Amino acid sequence: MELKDIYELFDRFESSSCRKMELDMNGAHLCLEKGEYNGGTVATSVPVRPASMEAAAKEIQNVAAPAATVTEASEETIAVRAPLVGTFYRAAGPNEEPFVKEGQKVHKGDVVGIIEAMKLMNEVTAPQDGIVDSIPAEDGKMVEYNQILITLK
Amino acid sequence: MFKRILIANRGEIAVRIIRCCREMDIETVVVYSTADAKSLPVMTANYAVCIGPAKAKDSYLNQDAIIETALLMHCDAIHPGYGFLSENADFARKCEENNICFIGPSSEIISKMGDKQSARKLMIENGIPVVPGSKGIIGSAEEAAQIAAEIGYPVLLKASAGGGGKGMRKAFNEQELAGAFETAKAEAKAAFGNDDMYMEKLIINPHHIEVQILADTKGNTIYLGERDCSIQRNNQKLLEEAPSSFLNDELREEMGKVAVKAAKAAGYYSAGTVEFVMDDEGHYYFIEMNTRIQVEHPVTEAITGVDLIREQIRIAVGMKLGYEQEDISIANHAIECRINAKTPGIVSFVHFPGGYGVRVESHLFAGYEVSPYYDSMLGKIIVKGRTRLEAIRRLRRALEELVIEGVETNLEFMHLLTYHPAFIKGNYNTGFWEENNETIRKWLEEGTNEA
Amino acid sequence: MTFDKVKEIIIETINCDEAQITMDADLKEDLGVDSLDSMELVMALEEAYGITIEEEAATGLTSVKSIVEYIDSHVA
Repeated sequence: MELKDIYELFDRFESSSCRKMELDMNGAHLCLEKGEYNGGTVATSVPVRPASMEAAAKEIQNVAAPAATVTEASEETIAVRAPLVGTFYRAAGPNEEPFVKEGQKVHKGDVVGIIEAMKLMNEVTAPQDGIVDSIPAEDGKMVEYNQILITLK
Repeated sequence: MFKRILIANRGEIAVRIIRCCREMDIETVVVYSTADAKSLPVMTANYAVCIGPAKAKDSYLNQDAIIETALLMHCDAIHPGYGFLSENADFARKCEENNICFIGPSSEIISKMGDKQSARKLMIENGIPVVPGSKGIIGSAEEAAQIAAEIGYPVLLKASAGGGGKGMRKAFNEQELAGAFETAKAEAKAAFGNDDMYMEKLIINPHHIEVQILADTKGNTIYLGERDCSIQRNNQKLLEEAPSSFLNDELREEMGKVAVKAAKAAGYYSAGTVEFVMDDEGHYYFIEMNTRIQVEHPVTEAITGVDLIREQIRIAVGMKLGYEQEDISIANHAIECRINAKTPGIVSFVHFPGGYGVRVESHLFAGYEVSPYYDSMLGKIIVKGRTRLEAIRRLRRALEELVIEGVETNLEFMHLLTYHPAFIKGNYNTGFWEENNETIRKWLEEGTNEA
Repeated sequence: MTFDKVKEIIIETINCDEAQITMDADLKEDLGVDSLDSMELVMALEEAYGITIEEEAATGLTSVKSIVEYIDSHVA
C-alpha cells in the first residue's frame, strides 16, 4: 500500500458518513476515526484576508512581490531604491558579471543594477560613493516602486 | 472566468471591486502609491504592488507602471473603477495591445464617446435629442459669439475632452462670452491637454437625470432605471436618488429606451451611463455618455437587485448578459449620501451605521490617514426604503449613527439637508444647492450654538 | 373606507395614538403636527395613493376630514 493509496482512502473516508474505519491490507494496518466536534468535514479553508480594522496594524503582506521584506536602512547605510516597477537585474546580461557584489566599493553615478520595464532597460545608479553592504532585491525578480535594491555603507 | 484582476484604483471603489472579486473567487492585485501604503484596499487585496509616489500623475495615472505590473503579476484583466484612467482611451488601447482585458468598452468606443462633440454628432444622426449647440469645434471667440447669437443666450462653453465640471464656463450675454471662452479654453488646456471647445444652450437649473445601461458583446443592451443627481455643488455630486421623483413611468420607460438606443448607436458594451439634462417641463436632452461604472451605481443596484460590478466582469470575460429587459423591475426607493472630508488628517475613530436597508461603501478605518493628494470622498451611505419617505427617514437614522473623528466632514450638513422642505418635496433641480445651502448652513451654526 | 386608510397613514407617518384621530381632529391643534410632519404626511398620502397633491391643495389639508374629502374627490 503506497502513500497515495492511503491519501485516496483518507479522502474516501473523509467524504463518507462513517465515523471509524480499520483496515488490514498486505501488511499495513490503518485506523481512521473522525473527531467528535462535528460530523462534516470543513471545506478547504481558504485563508481569507479579513477586511477588518486591526488589519491596519498588520505589516503589509506582499505575497508575490519579492520576499525580501523592506528593511529600513539604518542611519549609516544608504538605501538605493527602485525608481519604478519592473524586473530587477544585477547584471547587464544573463551570463555576465553582476554590476556590483557585497563589499565592493562604488562611486556616485556607477551603475549598480537594471530595472526592465515595458521592454526598456533603466539603469539604477549609486546616489553617492559607498561600499555595497547588502543586496536584498533578488536578481530577475519583480521589484516595486521605492523598494530597497541595494544598501551602501 | 478571469483568474486574477488588477485594480487600477484606490479608496472605496477599490474595496468594492475587491469584495466582488472575492465572491467570484477571482484573485485581486491592487496597485497603490506610497501615500496609500496603509489603506484598506492594500490590506484586503490578495496582492498589492506599489507603483509610484503620491502624485496621481506618477502612480494612479502612470499607465506604463500599471501595465508592467499587470504583466509581471500575470493578470487577465484590469478594472479601472471610476475617475483616473477609467475613461482614458490610450490606456484601454495599451491594455488591448498587451492582451490584458480592460473591464469596460473598447478603446475605440471610449475615444468616440469621450469626445463630447463626436458623441453629440452620433446622437443627432440617431435621432436622439441633444441640447442645441455648435456643430463642430469653435475656432475663435468671434465664431463663438456668432453661434451664441443663433442658439440664444444663456450658453455653456464646454471643453470637448472635459469632464467633472472642468473646462466649463457659462455666458449669459455677449459681453461675458469672450472672457468665458478664453478662461474655459485655458482651464481645459491645463486639465486635459486639449482645449477644443464647443458650445451648448444653457438650460437654467436643469434636472440631472442619468440612465444606467448594461450591454454585453453579443448585442444585448438593457436599461436599469434612472438616477437623479441634481444635488450638486459646483458640478460635484453630493447625493443621488433612484428612481427620480421627477419622472413618471411613461417618461422613465421612454428615456430608458432612448438610452439603450444611444448605447447601441455607439456599439457600446459593459456598464455605462447615459446622461441627460431635463428642463422643468420634462424635455430631456442627451448630454454625454459615461463609459465607466459611476460612484453612484449602488442606488441602481438597490432598486434593481443587480450587482453592476459583477455584471461588468461577466461581460468583460465574454459572457451573455445575466438579465433580459423583462427581468429588470424597479422596486423601492434608494438614496446615496456621499461623505466628503473637508480637511486631510488621521481618522482617529470611525463607526459605520448598519441595520435594515443600510449599505456602507467606504475604505475608512480607525488610524487611516486621509491624504490631500486625491479626491476627498471618504465613503457613501446608501439606504433603501419601500417609499421615498421611508428611505429619507432611514438616511436620517443612518447619518445619526455615523461617527467619524479626526477629520472634518460634511456629515452634519448632509444630515440637516434631509430635513429641508425642498429636499423632502423632491422634484428639485440642479439649482437646489444655490437656493438652499445658506439655510442649511444657518441651521448648522444654530445647532452648534445651541449645543 | 378612506378614513381607515388615512388613519393608518397618519399613525405610521406622524406616530400619534389612533384614538386621537377622528374626522374633525385638527392636525396641528389635536395631533401636534408641525410643518415638517405635515409635509411628510402629504408625501406619504401621495405615495400611498399614487397621486400628486399640488402645493395649494396641500396647504388646505389641515384636518383629518379635509384629507379624507380630498382623497375621495381626487382618487377614483
